[in-house]
Amino acid sequence: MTMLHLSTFSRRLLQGLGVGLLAFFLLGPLANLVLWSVAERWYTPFKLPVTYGTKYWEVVFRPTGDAMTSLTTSVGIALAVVVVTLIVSVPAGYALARLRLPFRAAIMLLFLLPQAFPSVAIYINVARIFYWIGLNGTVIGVVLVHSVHALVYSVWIAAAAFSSIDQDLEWAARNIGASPLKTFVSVTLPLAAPGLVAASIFVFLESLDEFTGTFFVGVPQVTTLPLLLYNASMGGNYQVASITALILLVPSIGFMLIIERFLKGDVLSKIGR
Amino acid sequence: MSIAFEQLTVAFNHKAVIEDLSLVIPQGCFFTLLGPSGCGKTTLLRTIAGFTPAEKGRLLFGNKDVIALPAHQRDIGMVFQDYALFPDRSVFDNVAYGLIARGWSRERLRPAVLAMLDHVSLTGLHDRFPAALSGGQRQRVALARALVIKPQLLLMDEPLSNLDTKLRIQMRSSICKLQKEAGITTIFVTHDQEEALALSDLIGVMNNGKIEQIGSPQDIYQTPRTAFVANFVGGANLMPLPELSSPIGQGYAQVQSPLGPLKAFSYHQLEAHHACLMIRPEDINLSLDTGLQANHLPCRIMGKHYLGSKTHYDIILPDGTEMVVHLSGQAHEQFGIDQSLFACFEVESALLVRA
Repeated sequence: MTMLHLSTFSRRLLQGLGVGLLAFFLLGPLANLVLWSVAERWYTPFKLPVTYGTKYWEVVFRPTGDAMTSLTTSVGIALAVVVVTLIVSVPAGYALARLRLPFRAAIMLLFLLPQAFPSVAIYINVARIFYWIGLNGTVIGVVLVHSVHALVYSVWIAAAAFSSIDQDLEWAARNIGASPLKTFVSVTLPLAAPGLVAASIFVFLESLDEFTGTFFVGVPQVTTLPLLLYNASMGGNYQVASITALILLVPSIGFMLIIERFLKGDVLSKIGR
Repeated sequence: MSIAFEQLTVAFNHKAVIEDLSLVIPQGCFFTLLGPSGCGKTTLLRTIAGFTPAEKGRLLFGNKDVIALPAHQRDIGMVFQDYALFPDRSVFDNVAYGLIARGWSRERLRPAVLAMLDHVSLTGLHDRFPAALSGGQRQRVALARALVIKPQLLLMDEPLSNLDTKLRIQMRSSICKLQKEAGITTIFVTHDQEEALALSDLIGVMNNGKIEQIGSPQDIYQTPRTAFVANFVGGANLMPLPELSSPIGQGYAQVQSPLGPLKAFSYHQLEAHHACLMIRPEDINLSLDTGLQANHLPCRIMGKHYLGSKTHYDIILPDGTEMVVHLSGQAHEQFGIDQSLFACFEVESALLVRA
C-alpha cells in the first residue's frame, strides 16, 4: 500500500516536472516579451527592468505611428491574399476533388513547389522580375508573392474539403431540379465552407507572419508588421519589437482556436490525397 | 409515363457496361432491375437519371427522347442507397429543396411539404436534422423528397439495403403502397430476389450488362429462361446436358442426360447446344424406392441441415453432380448421411433452360 502510494506520488512529481518544463519552454520566451513590452528602462546588471511603464505601448498605438500603419498594411495584404487564394483554390480544389484529372498527383505537387525550394533564392529572382515589370515595392507585388506561397495550403485543404462531401448529395440536388451552378452554391459550397474557412485562416496567418518575400519584394515602400519588428529589433528597440510580436500573436492564437473547431477529422484525413 | 430504352449502350473507359439494351416499361409499372453487384443495374439507373452519359441509343419518356437532357431537366425523383440527405438542412428543407429549385414560393410549398411528410408518416419531425433520425425515418425523408416534386418517374437504388430485416419488410409494404397511390412509374434496383418478387409488377433480371429475362415475378420464378435466372432467383440445381440432336420447342421433351433419359418440360424455344436441366430444390423428393414420379435418379446423401420448418440435404449423383434438396414434413427424418436413395421429380419440375 505504501509502495503504491509512493509510486503514484513520484509519478505525479515527474508529471508535474514535465508539464513545468514544457510550460517554461513555451511560456518563458513569451513572458520575456511581455516583460520587455512594459520595460521603460532595462540594462545589464539588472535581472528585471529598472522602470516599468506603458510608454512604448502608447508609442506603438499612436494613430500616426509606424506600428499602426504597418498593422493596417499587414491586415490589408493578408485579406487580399485570402481573396486571391480563394479565387484560385475553390475551382482548383473542386476540380482536383471531383474531376478525373490526368496527372492529378503532379498538379497537387506543383502547388508545393514554391515551398520546396530555398525561399531566398526564389524571392531574389522574383524581385528581379517584379523590378522589370514595375511590381517591386507595390502592395500588389507583395500580395502575389504571399499568395503563391500560401496556395499549397488553400488548394490542398480545399481539395480535401470538397472530396469529403459525398457526391450523391450533389446528384440528389441535380436530380430534383437544381442546375449545376445552383447545386454548387446551395449544396456543395455550404458543406465545404468549414474547410474553406480553415484554409483561409491558415492563409491569413501565413501572410501576416510572412517575412522573406515581403523583405525582397516590398521593401522599402511596403512595411508589414514582421518588417517593422525586424527593423525595431535591429535598431535595438526591443520594446517596440516585443509589442509588435505580441500583436502578431493575437490573431494566431485566436484563429488557431477557431480552426480547431472548424477542421473536422473527415476533412483532415483527405488533405494531400 | 411509359419509359423505353432503344439500343442503349453505356461505356466506362471505352468498355461497354451496358450494350444495346432495348426495353419498354409501361405507365404506372413497378419495374425492378434485379442482378448481382457489378451487373450494370446501378449504371443503368444512373444513365436514366442523367448522371452517367450514354454512348448511344435513345431513352424515351413517353414519346420524348431525353438522352440529351441534363439531369435537372429530366423530371425524375431518385432515392439513393445511402439516402443522400443534405446534412446541413432540416427534414423540411430537405423535402422543400426540389420545390424551391422549381421556383415555388415559401408560402406555396409549406403545405405541400407538410402534406408529403404526413403521407410518409413523418408528421411532426420537420424540424429535425438528418443526423437525429433513424434509418427508416431517413429512408422516408428521401422518399418524400423524391415524391414531393411529383416526378414523372421514380428511381430507387437499393433503398432498403441499409435497414435491418424487420424494418426492411415494413418499408417494403409502405413503398409499395406509396407507389400505387401515386401511380408513378418506378424503377427499383436491387440484388435481393425476395424484395424483387415481393414488390414488382415486372422484373428484369440483369447479368453482365444484359437483361436475361423480363417478366412478372411468377414468370421469372416459375418459368426461368436461362440457367442464370433460375439460379439467381430462387436457387436451382443445374445439370448440363450433352448437345441435343435438334432444337427444342415448347412443351414436353425427352432428353438424354449423363445418367440416362429424363422426361423434361420446356417453356421456351431452345437451341440444340446450350441446354441445361434445372430442378428447384423444393421440387425434388427423396425416397427409398423409385416411386411414382416421372424421373428418378440414384443418389447418396452427403449432408443434412435441419432448419426447423424444413431440412436441407446435399446429395450427390453417380456422375458426381451435386444437388440440394429441401424437404418439409417429418417423413424423411430417418434419412442419414451416406444413405443411398432415389431423387425423384415430376416432368413439370425438370425444366429445360439456356445454359
